[in-house]
Amino acid sequence: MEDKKNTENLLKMAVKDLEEVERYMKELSSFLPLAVCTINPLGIVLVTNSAFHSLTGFKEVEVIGEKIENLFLNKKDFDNLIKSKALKQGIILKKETVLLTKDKKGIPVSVAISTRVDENKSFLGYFIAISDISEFEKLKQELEKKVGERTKDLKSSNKEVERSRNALMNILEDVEEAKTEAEDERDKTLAIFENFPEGILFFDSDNNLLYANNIVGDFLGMDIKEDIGQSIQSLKKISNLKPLVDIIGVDIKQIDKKELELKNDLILEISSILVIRENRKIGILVILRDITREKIVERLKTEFVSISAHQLRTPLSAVKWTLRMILDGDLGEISKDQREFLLKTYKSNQRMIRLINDLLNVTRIEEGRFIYNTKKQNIIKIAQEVVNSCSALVKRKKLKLSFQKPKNKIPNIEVDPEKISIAFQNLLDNAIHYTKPGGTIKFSIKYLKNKKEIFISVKDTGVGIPEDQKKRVFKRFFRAANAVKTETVGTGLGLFITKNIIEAHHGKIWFESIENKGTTFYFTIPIK
Amino acid sequence: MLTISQETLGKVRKMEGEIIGSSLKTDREFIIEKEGTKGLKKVEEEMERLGYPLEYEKIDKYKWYPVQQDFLSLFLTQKIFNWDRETIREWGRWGAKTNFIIKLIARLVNKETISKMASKYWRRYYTKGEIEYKLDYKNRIGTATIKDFVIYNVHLHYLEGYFYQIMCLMVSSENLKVENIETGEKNVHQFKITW
Repeated sequence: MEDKKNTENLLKMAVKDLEEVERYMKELSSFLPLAVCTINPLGIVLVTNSAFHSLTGFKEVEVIGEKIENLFLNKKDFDNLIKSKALKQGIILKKETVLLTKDKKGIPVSVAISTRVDENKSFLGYFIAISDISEFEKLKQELEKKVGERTKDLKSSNKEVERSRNALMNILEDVEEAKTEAEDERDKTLAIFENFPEGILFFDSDNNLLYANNIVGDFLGMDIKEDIGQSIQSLKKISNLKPLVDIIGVDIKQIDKKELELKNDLILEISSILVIRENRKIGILVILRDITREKIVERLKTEFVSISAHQLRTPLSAVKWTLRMILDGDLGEISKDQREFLLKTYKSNQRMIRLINDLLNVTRIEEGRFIYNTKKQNIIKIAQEVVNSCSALVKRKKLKLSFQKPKNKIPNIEVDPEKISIAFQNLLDNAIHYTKPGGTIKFSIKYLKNKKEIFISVKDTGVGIPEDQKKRVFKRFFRAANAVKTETVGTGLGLFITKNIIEAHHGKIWFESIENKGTTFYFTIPIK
Repeated sequence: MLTISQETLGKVRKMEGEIIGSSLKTDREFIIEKEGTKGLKKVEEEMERLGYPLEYEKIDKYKWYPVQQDFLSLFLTQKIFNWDRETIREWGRWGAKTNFIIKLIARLVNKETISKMASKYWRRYYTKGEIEYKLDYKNRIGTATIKDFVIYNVHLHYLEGYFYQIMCLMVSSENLKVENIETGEKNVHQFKITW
């Protein structure tokens, strides 16, 4: 009786345990997100879980007892899987295939399969887990599509890139070639600059020394290369460079042929030129030219001319006075023919004396010995005397000379009367000599009160100055080609002397001329 | 109102043995599947009226119930809803598919063991009778014989479906047939299986 009761109790407990097991299995089955089914060795579905039903659309009763292979699009997939030796060796196999749902829709799935055995290791069938990889496949396909598209794009891009690369390489080669050429050119230019017989310095727009060739160092007795990069202010502090900086200035002015005499008897001619590119100052070039030898030659020449002129003038003066005496009859009566010959000789001698005087004046100017004895003078009076002295010649050449003086009285001005008289004489002589008979000459003096200067002009209707020769008008010994044709006699020194005289009086001289129409010379003298 | 002949009712009263609750539970699910809860209610009312009340909801799967209730459940349901033979067979297949005990057993059964295990598992269903499986796999033929067990037509059809479903686990269902055949012996029922 007791045993029966115990047995019943045990039975009740076993049933309860069984119920628990069943409930647990149901819970597990419902919870598992993975579709799982159990199949027997023949591939017949025995048990399925909720996820399996959700995935396939089949209810449990619809699928139990069915062959699992019927659930797949390709039945061989499953058949091959269960025939695999690896599977029989206990290895879990996986395969991607397509599951057919109840409504015949194909779902890409991954199938994992393992064998089931009993406690005696006897084969009982298989466990199958099926996971939906449709989203994964979709993503994969999208990815593959994108990769395909991207690959296509990349291939296309690659071609483009390749083309661009080739083009770029060509450009780079061209650039490299151009660079090499530019470097060669630069080297050549530098070599030229380095070996140039004149000193070259280049300052940037901020007046820093960027370049100086070797000869600059030779001229200045220093290693100028060491000072490259220095500012002009810094360079001024270097004793060897100071004289140069004093000439060009710390703001580096444009200058033309200023002379710099250095301690070692070296005379340099300094010029500075603004370097402009595309309307922008990029720097300034300073050129140092050794003119020592030229200066020596010039000095020797001037000395020679001076000595020669002095030596010539004395006998010429004696000839002049002798001829004058003969012409005046102091040495007795002379025939008409004799007078004519002697008069020509006298005139030639006069021209020779004037030439000698001009040469002496030039040498004095060049040697700085053209001494000016200035004093307050009536400029009108000086001018009138010169005009009067020319009247006989004007009359002879049948010219019309007018002298326009200021209406009001002008103040006396500080001038060297002799030199100013030479300047007036030279300008009027030129006007008379180079104006054809019948022409007019207007000599005018104005007082520019507001400018505090005397304004003088000499206007003629002469041969004029050719355009291409205007620049050389004030040079020594220069005579324009048409002037030489018109008047064979002339030294080419008059305007040179005149310019020096005017500038010595702090005045300015210039001219306007049209060939075959006439010339007007202007000059001013300030009133101190 | 459904009528059941007194003769049949008398036979029912004489039936011996018990059936496991889980089997009746599968009946409930099938009736609901086919006729809904209202249909189930009708069956319950009729059983109560006949003096065999059964509340399907409260059936304990692991308790034994009089076999009369199983028979009446099948008989009355078929009558109430006028189900044909094929539906009763489907019912049988349903029972084999959804019964938890069968599920457990099915995992362990194979064609080598089914003949030996059939009797053992019969006892897990019924307290009365016994079953004998004879299967000739070579010739694709076999029999399932139930002895010492009172069975009527509707139950035979149910078992046809039931055995069919069990056989599905072992042979191809393509040409599978399970048919009750006359044995001429009292309380011996035989099912011919071909596939």
